[in-house]
This record gives sequence, structure tokens and C-alpha cells, in this order.
Amino acid sequence: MHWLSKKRNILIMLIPTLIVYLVYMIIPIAMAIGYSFTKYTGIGNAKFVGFNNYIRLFRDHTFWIALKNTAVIFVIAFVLLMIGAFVVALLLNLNLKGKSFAQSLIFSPAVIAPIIVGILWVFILDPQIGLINAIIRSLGLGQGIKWIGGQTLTPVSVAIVYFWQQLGYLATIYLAGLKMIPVEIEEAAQIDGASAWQKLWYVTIPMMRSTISTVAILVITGTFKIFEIVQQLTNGGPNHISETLITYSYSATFTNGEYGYGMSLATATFFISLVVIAIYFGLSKEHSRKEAS
Amino acid sequence: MKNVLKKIAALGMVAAIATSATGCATSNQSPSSGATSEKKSGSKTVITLGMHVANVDQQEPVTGKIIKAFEQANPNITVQIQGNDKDAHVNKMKLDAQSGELPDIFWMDSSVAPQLNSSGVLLDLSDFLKTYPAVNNALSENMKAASRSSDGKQYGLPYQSLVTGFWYNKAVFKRAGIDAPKNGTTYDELIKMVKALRAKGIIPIAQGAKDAYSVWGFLTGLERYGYFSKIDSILNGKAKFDNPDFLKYFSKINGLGKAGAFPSNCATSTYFQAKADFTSGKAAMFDSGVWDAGVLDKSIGKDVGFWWGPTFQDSSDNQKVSMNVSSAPFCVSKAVGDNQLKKDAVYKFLAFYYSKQAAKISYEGSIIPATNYKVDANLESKPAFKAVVTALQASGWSSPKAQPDLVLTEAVQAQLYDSIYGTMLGTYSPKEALEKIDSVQQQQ
Repeated sequence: MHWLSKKRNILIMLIPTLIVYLVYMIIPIAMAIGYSFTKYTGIGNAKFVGFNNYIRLFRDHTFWIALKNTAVIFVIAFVLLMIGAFVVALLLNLNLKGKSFAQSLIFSPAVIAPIIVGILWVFILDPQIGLINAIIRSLGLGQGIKWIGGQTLTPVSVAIVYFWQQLGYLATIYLAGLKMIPVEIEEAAQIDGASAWQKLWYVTIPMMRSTISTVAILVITGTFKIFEIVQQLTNGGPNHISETLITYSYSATFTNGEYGYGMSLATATFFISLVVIAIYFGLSKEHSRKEAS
Repeated sequence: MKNVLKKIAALGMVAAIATSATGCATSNQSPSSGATSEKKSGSKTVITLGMHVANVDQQEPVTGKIIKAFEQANPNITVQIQGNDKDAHVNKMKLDAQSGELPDIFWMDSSVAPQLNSSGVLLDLSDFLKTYPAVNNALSENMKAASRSSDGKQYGLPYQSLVTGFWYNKAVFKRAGIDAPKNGTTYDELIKMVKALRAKGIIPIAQGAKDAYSVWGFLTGLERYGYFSKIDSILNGKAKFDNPDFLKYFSKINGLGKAGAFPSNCATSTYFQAKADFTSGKAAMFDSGVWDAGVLDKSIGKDVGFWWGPTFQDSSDNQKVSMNVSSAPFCVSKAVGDNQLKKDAVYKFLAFYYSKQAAKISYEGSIIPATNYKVDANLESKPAFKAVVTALQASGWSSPKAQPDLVLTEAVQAQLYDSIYGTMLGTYSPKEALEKIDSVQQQQ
């Protein structure tokens, strides 16, 4: 054990992980940032163009549409998932009949590949051939609603599909957090006469803080990289009105062959998600500080 | 070392976007070692062929048959296919070009091939055409010119003939009680057809905007407003896409959309769903090309017809425009020229690919080859293909030097498709749609 505790040996053991992290995370991100200052078609040499791609980005109407759609997806998915998954975890933590079956059922969408999830939901949401509008039409309630393919509801639909896919996975993480709360503390609260609501608010949630942060980070990063669902539902269209930051970045890079501009979109997405995470941490620290004082 | 660094750099960039988006494209490589270095398996010379489909035998059966016939005729040469879906293939070729590992022969997108040529990785095939004069004669001038640079370098040769237009179903028109379109049918007559078809609950023209590139028939219309007389000035920055002629044309497309010419779920449909609407008899017309002839022979049979699209009375440009042009080219890696054995094998393959024998295989597989050999082929059992051949033989109708989108860069091409669909769906006004193309063109 003494050998293990030596700093030098710890560093040696960390080297393989650090190399993998460096090669697959740090270097690609640094290179993407580097390429974002170039004009590059993927062939020949990249030409340095300074901040041109970023100036173009700010003037690009589609970028703002993609940002708006991403923001809508993020807000809806964040609220629904943070609360919904927690409620589901609380229910699963109760000793109810059929709990294991319900847990498997709720978790099952998480094991389906996102691309399949997208295909599946096309048959539910498509205005012409989708299940929901077929029901609306059969009930004589009109021709149905443009769930996907329109300007307003597409990002909402994407958020709902993402919520459906991620709910079970995030509820499982919450459940693991709930299981780690010592029973003695809950019993002590009960003896002190705390109601179920007070137990939840003053014991469970504060003790779940690190789990809640983990889930929040997963939701933030997850919503900023939803790709396959959008690709299958609308492919960013029609006419880019349902693009998200990541699908637009992919489209600019690989469909339009504008690697430099595509990388500036990827870099912007990266920094926006960092800012959102920083805001979240800032707000939760502030909240903790207020509680402590 | 420089090549290795370039490859790492290119891979790094792909990895960067992959950290945000995973699982974007499918790839299906047939076994191949993939480099251009000399390969001999036993006494055989191996040449590599990069294709834009994952499974050549299934997705490009005619090419598969030509390769097999070539290998039979040349038992000392083996063709090793490297297949990927189109987007993955194009990106892979870009990476391979950076690292000097291009396949010996490869299909390349028309908008990317000139860039590869500029970077000096392609072999000049003028020498091949001199060595094989029969091939040179069999390829018409517009077919060769499409892959020739301004300095005269022949950086590619057409993979096939690209014939595009509108398929129509005679039985559906009969059901609606109206005449099917024919060469010379005007835009106003088309609008009347659209209204009559809509009244009977029939989709007039099957289109799928989710596959933005599926606007072939509407690209032909651009030439009826003088596209190739304007495009050089536009690309030089002396003129704009937003000009009175193109504005008239885009207004016409917009008019079709307003008249209900396209499916109500056009925005969320794919090209394949549009095809299904047509083959199932729900749609009267379908924007596509000769590559669908085989499917239409089986699904619609004798009732299928082929039309070059509407003519426009408010245009002074030639209206008798057909679209029989060079498809995306086959290119050859420059590294092939450094290895005589490999070069001979590649030349033999190309000579066979553009031979009369290969042309016969093409016709039998309902594909129009790039060559102009007179071939005896029984077309009675192929009504869709026969309809295309008949349309091609129409007197007075001629094709431009290329399909309009194929002379643009990838980004402008993508915006052109987007603008056409945007105008059809009413997302963009005609002027807005054209301004968007100009905006992307200015970025190039």
C-alpha cells in the first residue's frame, strides 16, 4: 500500500487515462477551436481567416434559429427531466407492488439507440402518417397538428422525445442517490414529527445535492448534443427551421463542406454549454451558501 | 511524416465534432487494405475502387456486373471495392487525399472533384483518352468537359449519364380525367393539371424535402431561364442569383406550391417516401431520374411515362431543354501514375468500363451509360427505361453541359436545394430564397 501512496506512482498509473483523455478530448477540442479560425473545405490547406467565421456566425439567421431551438429543447427537457425523473425515482423507492417491472419498463427507452428512437417517433408525430394525428382525425377533431416539420412545435416535440428516452436512465441515477441516504436520518426526522413534504424538502433533497448536480450536468450536456432524434424527425428542416446547434454544425461541416465554419459552430456550442453549466453551478452554490447562512 | 500529421489533423477534427454528435453516418466497408501502394495477390494485380454506396452489388448492380465481367475478361486483375454511404464516402476520400491513401479509382461528388484536382491528388486522364481513342470517341464532348479543368486537365470521367426529370403515371391521369404531360406542356397547363388532380385527392408531384437534394426536375427548369448563360458571371461575382429571370422561375415554383402541387407532408417526407407515394398510385408525378426505371418497371409497368418538365412562356431562353449530362465522375489517384503495373491495370479497367460490352450491360440494367455506342437491347420488357430513351430521342431537345447544381461548390449547392424546397413549401419568398443563395455564394 505504501507503494500506491507515492505521488510519483499515482501519476504513473494515471498516465494511460490522461493520454486517452488528451488524445480523444483535449487535442480534438483544441484543434476544432484552431480550425474555427480558418476557411477549410477538408481538402488541401486550411486558410487562416481570423474571426471571420465568428462574425458570419453572429450574422447567420440559421445560427440564431438553431440556438433558439436548442434553448427551447434545453429548458423543456431540463424542467421535465429534473422534476419528472426525481418523482419517478421517489415512486420507485416506495415499496409498491410491481416496482421491478415498472423500473424495467421506465428504463427500457434508454437502451434503444437514439436513431431508432427518432424513427419510432416519426410514426407517432408525423403530421400525415403519424399516430397522434390519425387519432385526432378519426375523432373528427380536424386535420391534426404539425408536431414536426413546423416552426413552433418541432423543438417542443424533440424535447418530449428526449424526455421519454432519458427519463428512466436519470430516474435510476436519482434512485441510486436515494438509496444512499442513511435510513437513520429519515427515521430521526420522522420521530421529530416532520411531515412527508418536510422530509423531502429538508432531508432528502439536501442530501441528494451531488446526485442532483450529476443529473443536471447530464441533462445539460445531453440536450446540447441531441443529434439523431432531430436528424430522424426532421433532419433539421424544412429549410433549417428545426436545426439545433449540433445538427447545424454537422450540416455546415459535412453537408456544405465548410469545415472552418462548422468548427466555429461546434466551438460556440461548446462554450455555450460551458456557460450554462457554470450558471447552474453558480446558482446552486449561491443557494447552498444562503441555506448555510 | 507530413502526411501522417495531416491525417491526424483531419481525424482530430472529425473526432472533435464526434464528441458532440455520435453515430452520424453508417459505414460498410468491404474487406480491403485500401492504400494505393502496389498490391499483387499471387500473380494478380489488385486495383482499389472507392464507391459511394455501401453495397455495390445491391445498390449499383450494373456497376457490380461490369466489374465482374471485367474480372472475367482480365483474370490477372482483381478489383477490390471500398464502399460507403455517399456522405461517409466523400468525407473519407477527403481524409484519404490528405494522407495520400486514395483508392486507385473512386467515385467523387462533382462539387468536390475540382477541389481534389486543385490540391494535385488526381491523375490527368487525357493520356488515357489518347491511349484509348475508341473511348475518347464514345464519350461526347459535354460528358468529358464536365470533369475538365480550365487548364485542360481531364481530372475525371463520367460514372454514368445523369438523366433526370419527372416520371408520370398515365393511369392516375386517366383516373383524374385529364391528359398526361408531354414535351412542351407549359407551366400554366401544369397548374391546371395540379388543380384537377388535387380535386380528385391525388398528390400532383411527389417530393420529399427531408432529402433536400431531390429537386432534379426543378434544376432543369433553371436552364429554361438561361442558367448557363448567367452562371459564370454569378460565380465571378459580376451577377447574382437574385436576377429577374431566376426570380420569375422561383415565383413559378412558389406558385406550384400554393396550387397544392406537393404532398401535405412534403416537409417531413424523404425522397423514398415520395417514391412510395408514386409507386402506390397516390401521386401522379415524381421528381427523379433514370436510376428509378428498374423499380418503376416493376411497380407501374406500361403506365409509366417520362417528362422533361414544364416550359415557360415568359422566358426568352431555349425551352427545349432535356437533362442528359455527366453524372459525378470517376477519378483516379495521382499515385497510380507512379506505378506502371497499376496504371496499366487501371487503364484496362477504365477502357472496359467505357466499352460497348459495358454499355450493353448498362442498358440491360436500365442505366444510360456515359458512352454513346449503338447497342441492341430489348426494351419492351422495360417500359420505364424505354420512356426515358424515347424522351432522349425527342427531336430538337438538347441538354446543357451539366446539371445546374453540379457546377457549384458544396455549400452553394446545398443552399440551392434548400432555396428550391423553401420556395415550394412557402418558407421563403422567391426573392428571399435567391438572396440566400447569393449570401452563401459570397462566403465562398
